[in-house]
Amino acid sequence: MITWLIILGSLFILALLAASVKSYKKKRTLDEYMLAGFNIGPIIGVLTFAAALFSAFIFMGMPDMFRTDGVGAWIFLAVSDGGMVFLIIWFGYHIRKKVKTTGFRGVSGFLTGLYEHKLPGYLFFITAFLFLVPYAAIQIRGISIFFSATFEGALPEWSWAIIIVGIMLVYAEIGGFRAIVFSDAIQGTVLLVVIWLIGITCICSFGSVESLFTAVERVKPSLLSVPGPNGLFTVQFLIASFIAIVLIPATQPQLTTRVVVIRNFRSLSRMAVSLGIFAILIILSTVFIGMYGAVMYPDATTADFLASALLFDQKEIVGALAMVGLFAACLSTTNAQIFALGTELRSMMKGSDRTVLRNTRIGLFIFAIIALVFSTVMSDELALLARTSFTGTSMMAPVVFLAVLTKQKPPLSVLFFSASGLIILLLSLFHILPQEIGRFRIDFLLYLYLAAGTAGVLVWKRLIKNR
Amino acid sequence: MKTQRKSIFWILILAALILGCITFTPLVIPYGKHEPALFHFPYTLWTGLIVTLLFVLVTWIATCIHPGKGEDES
Repeated sequence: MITWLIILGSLFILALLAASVKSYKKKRTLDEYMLAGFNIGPIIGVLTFAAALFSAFIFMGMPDMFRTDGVGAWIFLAVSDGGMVFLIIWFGYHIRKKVKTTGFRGVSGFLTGLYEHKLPGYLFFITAFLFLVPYAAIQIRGISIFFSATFEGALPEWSWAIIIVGIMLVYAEIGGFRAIVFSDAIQGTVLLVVIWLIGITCICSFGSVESLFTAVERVKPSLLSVPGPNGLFTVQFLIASFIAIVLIPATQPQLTTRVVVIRNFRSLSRMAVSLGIFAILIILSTVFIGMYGAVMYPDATTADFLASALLFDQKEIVGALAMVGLFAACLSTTNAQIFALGTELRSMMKGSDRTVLRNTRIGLFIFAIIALVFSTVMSDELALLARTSFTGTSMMAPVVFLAVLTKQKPPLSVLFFSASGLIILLLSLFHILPQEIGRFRIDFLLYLYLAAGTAGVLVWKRLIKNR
Repeated sequence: MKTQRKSIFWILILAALILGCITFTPLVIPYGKHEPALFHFPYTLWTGLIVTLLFVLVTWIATCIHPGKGEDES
């Protein structure tokens, strides 16, 4: 496998280098560096969106979730992604229309401009920082545990993390957003191919899909229905996850930026539909890998299961491709998140292009180091940590939606609801507040609170106007 | 024409909302039940797959009739 790994790994690094060099221009503008000149086509668009969204979380987190919690994971992610692609069309149209009149440097700066106040921009940036850094750290952590389990004793876990962050920083600093988008396209393609090769191997080892599910029924029938053996997939959990994931294009800046920089609405439309199909294909394969793990490795740790199912049980070339695919997945998502924080920081800065670019690059470096440090203290539950990131940023949905949808200046009072929702969520994540009140999950209640608060703000605004 | 497209788009938004609501009923996720299977897929998996496909279908129709279609072509 090592020979294949060297060949495929070298090809991947060469592709990254080509992407960086192709994207590098000596006299490029700040918008070209940070936003690829607002000119991303539908094919690259879908691959970059998918790569920024899916990542190591789908490659490693989802098979493990299917293995331990069962088929409810499909409702958790695939159905939610289905809802999300619809939101891309609806929200994408409105934000692009708004951006035409206001311009766009990043979501934080965009909100600052529309609210004519710095607070919304700061709040959005702080939320993105609080929830994207751990999300980026999840990717780094995921790949580190996988590589150290595979090459046991070769290098300590943290050194894998440093290698990933190092490569990421080099090509992001050289090529900017366009290089990231190209590398995402490479990663998206690799991810789809590899995950299906592994999925097919998993089915073939049982002979057919029927035999696979029959074996799961024999080993642990509770995996085949909700709420699953650990009782995770309750209706409340699934509804709260659905809302958090559907809102991603509006609340996770790395994806909002991709909605905005795509060439035109037609490209956005094609991108959204293709993304839906891409999501179904990719998640379907993780079902088979997870079910395979449920039968073959029911009690193994996450790292051991992944190392076995993705590498050691595969043909050498597929195992090597899986390594490269995982590395690429981790690299592109981490990069998308760190770069998004850089974009947000830049959108709130003032000064000459040169100064802003220099400060943004310093910012990128600092964010990457913070994510690196975080990655050493994260837990192994990739899918649930990713969900926490989605939930956290979704607290900003009212602020973003009112800014995009209202024709006049949006009311600042909505900030109170988003900010208080964020604080309550953080307190519950740190177990200072309970995670359930009565029989209700706190995230589920927070969505009701945000919806009621936003409706209240709108009604109040209308009443004042009519007076 | 644009008004008609707007009306259809609103119907599609309603369809997406209904799909979202149906997902969380026992019609799609009955507790502790994995029969009847379809093509050997357990119940929640195949119903979930259909819901996801319907979301993509609704999105595709929405892109075809969107009132803003062609507005920012360049």
